[in-house]
Amino acid sequence: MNDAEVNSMLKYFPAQSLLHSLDARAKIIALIALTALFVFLPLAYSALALPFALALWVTSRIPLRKILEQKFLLLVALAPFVFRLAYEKSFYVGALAGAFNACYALGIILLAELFVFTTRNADARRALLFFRVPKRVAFEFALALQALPLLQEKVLRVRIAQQSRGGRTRDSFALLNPVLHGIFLRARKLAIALESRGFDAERL
Amino acid sequence: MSDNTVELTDVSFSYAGAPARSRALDGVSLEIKRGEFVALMGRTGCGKTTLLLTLNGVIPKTIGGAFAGQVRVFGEDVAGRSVAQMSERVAFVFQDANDQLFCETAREEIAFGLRLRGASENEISKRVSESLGRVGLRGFEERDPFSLSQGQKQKLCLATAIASGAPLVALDEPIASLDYENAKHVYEILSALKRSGKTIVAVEHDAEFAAKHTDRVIVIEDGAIAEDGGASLLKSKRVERYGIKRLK
Repeated sequence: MNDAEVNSMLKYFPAQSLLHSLDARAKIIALIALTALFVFLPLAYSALALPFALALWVTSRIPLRKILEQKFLLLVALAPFVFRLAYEKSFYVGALAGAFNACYALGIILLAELFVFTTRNADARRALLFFRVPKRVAFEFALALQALPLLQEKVLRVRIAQQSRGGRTRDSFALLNPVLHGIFLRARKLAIALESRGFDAERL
Repeated sequence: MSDNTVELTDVSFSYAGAPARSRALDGVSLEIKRGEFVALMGRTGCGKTTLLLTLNGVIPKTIGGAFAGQVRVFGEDVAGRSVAQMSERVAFVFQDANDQLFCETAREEIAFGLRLRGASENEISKRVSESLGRVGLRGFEERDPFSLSQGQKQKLCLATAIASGAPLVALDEPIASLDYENAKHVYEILSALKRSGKTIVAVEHDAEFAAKHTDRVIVIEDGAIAEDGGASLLKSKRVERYGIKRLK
């Protein structure tokens, strides 16, 4: 992968911003607090999660195209919208409630992504250890964050391989088996590599 | 005290779930002296990697199966130590660099094992700088390992092995996905490591690199040692029987 491809993935994005320089512990507390706040606010107010997240995004100097590149966010927005439309008796109420739910869901996800984009793995791990999260859990969390771009890369490679053999462009189910298999294989190989470098989960 | 870094005594191994008669290793006995540079060669699936994985205990502790025999590294029975403990004696470089890189920067990658052993940050910085310099990656400390080329990733894995200070370096096809220039550089690094006193065991398919850089070639066939000789073995017609290119 070249630098451009790596920078397009869900991982730390280097930039000079207040969010980048903020302590990881403060960011974790803020993320939890904001999530809790938006959960308990009335629906209309919880929709403010999205404009709030977007405002933070702009200040973080992370390109907005990184949001547009994530097509799954459309699904995140549509799902509650469609659900509400089906659930509510009135179309107007359903559409409005669905829009608020969509804004809330998108906002929370963007806030979580901002944490990933502005926080180095090592800092996130240290912050979790500071909060007395068990070492093993903190390490697994950091590894899971590290795995996100690898998962993206795997999906891309499998899709290209399938398309080059005539597979349908939008067949997401066809991706499931090879991607899952790849994830488990990688996890196993990584476990062996970690052990070979002295990592002993039992001692953590 | 034995002069041997590695001693395998009648080692046999079958992978879990493999057919009853199928043995990945079949009664292997060998000794590797301190400071030797050994190439393990043979057809795909003959047991080279399996043999290599017994050196740090991954087989049979992590990769289960039916194991018999004894493996001693620097006089200690590998069975009596965990794989993590063996990492102080054996630095392992896997075939695919992508399977063993998991940190955000090259520095963190090298520091990982050292931190687990309680090395100070000063010591870590010194070793990071030294090891990256030895593999030609000076200045790459803050680079994301996943943005590196395949050759650079492999050298980073080598740097990790060098920084660990382990006296035995085990490599599984270290130049498998490299172009000639990078492969040549990797073997020059390994030769320099050997001259500094390390013992090196490498699974290798390339007869030319093996002949030029190693002291000894062990040919594995069907899980057993078929040939064991100096690098001049690769000029013998016999090696063609084992799927190895004979050198002129």
